Amino acid sequence: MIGVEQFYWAYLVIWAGIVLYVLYLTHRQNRIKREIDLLKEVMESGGK
Amino acid sequence: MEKRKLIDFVLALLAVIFVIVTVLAALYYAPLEPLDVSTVLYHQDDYTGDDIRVKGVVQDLSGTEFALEDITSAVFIDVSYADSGDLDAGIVNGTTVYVLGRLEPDVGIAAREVEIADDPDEPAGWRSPYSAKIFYFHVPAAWTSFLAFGVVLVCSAAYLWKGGQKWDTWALSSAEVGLVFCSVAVISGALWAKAEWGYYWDWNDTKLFSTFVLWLIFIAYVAIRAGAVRHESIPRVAAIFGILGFAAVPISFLSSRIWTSLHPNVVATSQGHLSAEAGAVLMLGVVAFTLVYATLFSRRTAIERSVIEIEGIKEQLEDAE
Repeated sequence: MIGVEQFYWAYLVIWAGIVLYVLYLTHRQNRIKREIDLLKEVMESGGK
Repeated sequence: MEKRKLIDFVLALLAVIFVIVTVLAALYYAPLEPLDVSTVLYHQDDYTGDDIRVKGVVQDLSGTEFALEDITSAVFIDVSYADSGDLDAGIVNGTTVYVLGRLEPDVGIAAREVEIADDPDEPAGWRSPYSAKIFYFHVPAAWTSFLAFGVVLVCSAAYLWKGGQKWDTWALSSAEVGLVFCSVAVISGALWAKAEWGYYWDWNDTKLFSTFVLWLIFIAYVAIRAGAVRHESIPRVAAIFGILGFAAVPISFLSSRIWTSLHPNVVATSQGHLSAEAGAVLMLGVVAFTLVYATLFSRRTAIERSVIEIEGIKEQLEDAE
């Protein structure tokens, strides 16, 4: 049947796109959280 | 803080549930033909200005009738194309004909593109009905991107009017998430076009071109904000850019309704040719994608708040030094 291949490609692109974006956000959030923790440690140690 | 986490969790849970239901409904419940277009139209004197697919006997502007029994696909073009001379092509029995769109009183129907069918016995309908199921995700993705860019418009206006970092944060977050959905809509649409039209893209098509421009505008918006330099004027510039950029949304939405376009108009036309089952699955998709948008928007704003928190801590450290 014509278009089956395109249908599954589109399916893959749609959900892979959204999942990749979620992974990117998670990665970015974790990195920022680590940075905040590090900065707080620096603050608590008196800026050393 | 805990309340925010709970809301995020509920949103994400609902999004996942609706996404799964939509996928299953699109695969196993939705009809292969999203449009209920079995009506044979012929010289519709009482029919004005609406796009519709046509099967059966049609007539060109010169009054010549064609018995089109092997229509395998239909595209919608403005009747003004009838003046371009495209109708001169002879149509013989057993040809596949791509039939026009807008019907006006006493105008009849004009054929635009004609090609010999590979298989004269191929049943009438979409050339690629299976790929038409992309529609159940393509349209919700496009809708969600329009919603997201609408949020950019409102938040940008609120930022310019009232000020306040939260408006800027929301505008930036919504633009980035909207860009993801716009990308999904553009790529899935191109894949459908390959199956249905035989090519991925047509730069002369107003719908495709205006949506591409919309996509570029918000890529530029996100790129401006992603710059390493965080100058204090950037939020204000971005807000003006966001408001102006939103103008591309109605242009993209209306382009295929106002100007000539191969892009089908099956939603929000005055006739609304969606079948009940297709409409139900489409609505499920819209709800699912809107929930996914809300979830991603919430996560993105949380990141932006954290970035602001980091800047605050760094300022404190600099002051302490």
